[in-house]
Amino acid sequence: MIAWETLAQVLINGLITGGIYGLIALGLSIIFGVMRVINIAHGDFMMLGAYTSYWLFVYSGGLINPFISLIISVPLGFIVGVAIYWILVNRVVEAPELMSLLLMFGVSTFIANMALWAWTAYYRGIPYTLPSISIGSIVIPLCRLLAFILAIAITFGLYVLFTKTYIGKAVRAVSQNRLAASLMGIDVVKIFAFSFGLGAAIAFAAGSLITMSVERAFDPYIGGHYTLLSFCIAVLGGLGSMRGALIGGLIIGLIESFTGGLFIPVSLVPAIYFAIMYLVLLFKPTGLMGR
Amino acid sequence: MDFLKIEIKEMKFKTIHYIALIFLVILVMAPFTPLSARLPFLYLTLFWIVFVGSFNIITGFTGYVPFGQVMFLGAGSYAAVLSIVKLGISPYIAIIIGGLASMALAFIIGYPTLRLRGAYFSIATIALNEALKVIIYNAPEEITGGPMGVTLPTELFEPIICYYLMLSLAVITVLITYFIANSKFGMGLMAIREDEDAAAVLGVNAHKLKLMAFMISALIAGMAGSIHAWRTMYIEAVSEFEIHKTVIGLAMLMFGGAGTVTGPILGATILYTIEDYFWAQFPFAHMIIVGLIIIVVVLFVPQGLVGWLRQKMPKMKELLF
Repeated sequence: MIAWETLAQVLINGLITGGIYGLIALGLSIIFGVMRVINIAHGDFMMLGAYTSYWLFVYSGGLINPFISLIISVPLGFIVGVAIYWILVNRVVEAPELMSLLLMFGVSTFIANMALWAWTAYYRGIPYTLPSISIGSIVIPLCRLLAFILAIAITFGLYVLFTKTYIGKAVRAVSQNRLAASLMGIDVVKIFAFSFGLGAAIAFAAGSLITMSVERAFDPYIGGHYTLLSFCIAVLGGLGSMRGALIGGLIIGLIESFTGGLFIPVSLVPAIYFAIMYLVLLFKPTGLMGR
Repeated sequence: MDFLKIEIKEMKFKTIHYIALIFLVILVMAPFTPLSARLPFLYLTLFWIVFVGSFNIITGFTGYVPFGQVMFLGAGSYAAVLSIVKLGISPYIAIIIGGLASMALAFIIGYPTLRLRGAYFSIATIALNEALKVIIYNAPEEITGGPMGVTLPTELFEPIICYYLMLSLAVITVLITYFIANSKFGMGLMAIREDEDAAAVLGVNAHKLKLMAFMISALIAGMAGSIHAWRTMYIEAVSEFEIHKTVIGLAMLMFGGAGTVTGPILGATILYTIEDYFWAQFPFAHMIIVGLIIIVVVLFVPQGLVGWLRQKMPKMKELLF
């Protein structure tokens, strides 16, 4: 029999992980929802975000911790995303889905191997920790809690952006009906560029946060794992749905902490992602929140 | 099986057929000539031609990209090697078993995901590839060898036989591609690639056709994986399911020209030759360039080398394609 403290601990771990997972999948879901492009390089953007935080931490001599470096990594991600959109994706966004899929696959290979060449295959981690909070026998590392709170704050910020501002409403209009939106005077290409930048910025932010919470060590090839994870979450919640991404993230976080911590080795967790994705695609391909 | 009927047009022998025949004779004779010193290179070129050819059957004709295509090499090799080592089956039969195992896997993954649009299929295959990798890696050593891998008994080492097996498989792959390109089945697949909804309206059973193409593709890749496992005598989960093989195969396919008969042969031969002579010295630059090739080909020459040649030199078309 498992003690209730263990259960509570696993539950809290799962929720904290899940909040960040929701953010990861959100970036993928926004880009897909707006322009029907699956960003295979999503995980590689996260890897770049993690390295941005790492180098800022190292070169500032520990002054800029990963939470502060969000101020730099988020705009950087936005710029990288918009640049990649203008230079590459814009040329294939109207072409069949296959083209953008292949293109982003090439981009992903290119980014990961450039990073490998520049930064070598060493596992890196940011040596920054905060004390833990203990409630009874339940331990919550402050770093993870802060990362979770920031992830939720960013998600809430996005919600406000999409519901209250002009550009956010324009993004939603384009995702609902591209032609009608352009007839209403919305510059669709600009909205695409903005959404792609937004997706990349979220990936960079998630990359910075993940170094503080879920997987503290990273290398240039970590991207593939996160692309897969975010796709799995987005599919579970319903590809293109914001609420779906959040709920999917929480479910996957909980499943991961309950199974990975208690019943099976952590290294088998990718098999669980696959099993979930397979079952969803088999029985309800639109996902939990899909239309 | 009416739709499998092939319309035999008047078979005119074109220059390309004679060239192919000459190359085939050279390859068959290779072990008995000075070329035998380069036999490992020829063998690996043939391996890539088979793998890219198997990729072509699903990606080139239907427009669906299984990013996890490498899993069929891996699953085939594991099925074959385990049946040789654990059950004592002859390697020749094990190759068939490897192919059938991959085909069964293709059915399992293709059945739900090929109903959906391409992206789901593409990523679900990567997910299955990763899942197989970690399951085999974490399984008890008595069953799959775990992280240690499995070694074949040394008395089975037959590089020349493996060379001829791979050569035969390459020829079979090219013939299958040729027949698909000229059959009603292939027409259906290409209709799906151009416009799936329109094809479905016109009575093409898109799901069934895609699934069949995917299973044929997996069968070939599984057999290639089995032969390759026999040739290398050793398999291990992480390298058998290494996603790089998919990336390189995809670059070769796109470079040569997806959906053509000669494209995969040219793409695999040219890029593997360059890799062997040049890139192997710069392992980091290699994958960067492979990524660049995919990007450049998608953006500027999506029809690939063969498609480009067809467009630029219409006279060559009569002669060659």
